[in-house]
Amino acid sequence: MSDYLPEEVWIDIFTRLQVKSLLRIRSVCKFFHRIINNPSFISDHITSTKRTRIPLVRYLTGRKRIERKEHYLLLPDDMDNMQELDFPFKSKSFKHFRIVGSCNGLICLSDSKGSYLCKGDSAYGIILWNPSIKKYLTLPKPLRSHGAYSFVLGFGFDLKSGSWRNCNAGAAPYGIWKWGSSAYVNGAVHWIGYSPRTEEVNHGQSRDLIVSFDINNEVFKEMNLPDDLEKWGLELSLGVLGNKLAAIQYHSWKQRMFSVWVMEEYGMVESWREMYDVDMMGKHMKFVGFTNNGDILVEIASHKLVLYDHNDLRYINVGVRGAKDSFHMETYMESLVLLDGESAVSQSKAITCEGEAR
Amino acid sequence: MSSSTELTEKKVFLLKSLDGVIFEVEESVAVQLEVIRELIEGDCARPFISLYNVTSEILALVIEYCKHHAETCSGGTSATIADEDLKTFDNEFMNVDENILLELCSAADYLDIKSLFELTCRTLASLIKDRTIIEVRKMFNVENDFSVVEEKAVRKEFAWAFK
Repeated sequence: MSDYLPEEVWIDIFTRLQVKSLLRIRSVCKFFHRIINNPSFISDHITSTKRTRIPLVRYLTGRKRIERKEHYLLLPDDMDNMQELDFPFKSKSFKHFRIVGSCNGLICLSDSKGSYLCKGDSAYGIILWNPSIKKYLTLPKPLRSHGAYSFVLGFGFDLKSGSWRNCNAGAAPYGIWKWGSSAYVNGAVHWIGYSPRTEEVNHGQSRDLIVSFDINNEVFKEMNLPDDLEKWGLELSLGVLGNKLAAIQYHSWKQRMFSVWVMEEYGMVESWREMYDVDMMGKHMKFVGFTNNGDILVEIASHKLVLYDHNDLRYINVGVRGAKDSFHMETYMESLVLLDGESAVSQSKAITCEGEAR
Repeated sequence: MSSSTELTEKKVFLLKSLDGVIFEVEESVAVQLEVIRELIEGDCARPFISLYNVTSEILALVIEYCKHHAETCSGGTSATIADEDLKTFDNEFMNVDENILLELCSAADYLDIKSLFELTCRTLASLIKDRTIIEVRKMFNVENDFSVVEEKAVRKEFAWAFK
């Protein structure tokens, strides 16, 4: 066999294979096993342009606690081939896990009593889960090292070092709206936040802005919102449209409408552009996420997931119904990251953050 | 050196395979082999180039592939028609025995023909993807060097992937 092809050719062939095939052919021979387990292959496999990114929607069903089930559904471009992932975990909190983010095939879940981690909440812990290889890792509970302040979580990947390491950035010099979503773009996690109130700046007025945390150099930075949005931080969500940072404004004050803004050139405040508006037709709707082709997914009042086609200006029922406010969307891709993690295969007993099955 | 210049002007190269068969190819075909293009650009191309890693059977196929691609790309047809034509040709071209496919991939790597390398890798990947372990071993003539216990352990770790 090796008479035919050198190792780098096998690597090239293997980067084109789906995760499930790779997990199988690991047992062909020791040579294949070594190639596929190699961290540099795992990272080549991720960066290979052949990997597709698919929207992943989470929602909760079941009214009674015992009936509750978290669903993780992949929504490919043609909605006919939706696929549900096996979800082996059980939240110890009153509802469901909070999804911190998703990156390189890993989904970061946090379990806490409240919807958000803050002082007084009992945090059960954080899980990194790779559904494509059914493996997971639990992380230590966050340290409460910053006194009376609460904290938010973000999840991303260091594009430059390409490896895991400890971050110790200390406290953000900004406020961050805790309820807001975070967005991972360009090697940094972004939140909607506000500048501290100082007399020198802004005459004591707080100003809404985007707070970013660069994972490589561990630095917090601020980025201005478009002028039109500067006072409306409380009505904003962040998302990723294409590979660009997007801000979604919910006009509750005026009329029921969404505006979608995109930062065309990362870091350039003047490149913010209003892409389109979504008329909610007098109904209550909640932004969930973007699909690959830029349409938006919203949760409507009857707790159904609906796709808004922004070209044809029409709503399409996805056919999914879940508990109020349980919808969340991330972009997902397959990967071999965490190959040596704990097994997260669905069994009769669900896995909790503390590792104990119940 | 003078004879080299003369032949380069005629734009014909002689490629000699591992088993000594000589193929005459035009420059437009030869330059698709990146190794030869570099020789030409570096002005080091001799009229007679020995390719030590490629048998005549495979070299004939490689030349057929490069010829078709060179002709299609210079044929003056519109880009979309040329693309369609190449796609059809590539599909038919890949309809070969698996051993030949492996050797073509190896030759494309050695001769540095990017499009053929991409094509053979893609085809091999699609052949592997749905095969069982035993079929993959047979296909590549791979010896199973795991012990029974080792193989069982490797399979058990992702038993669900075998279903």
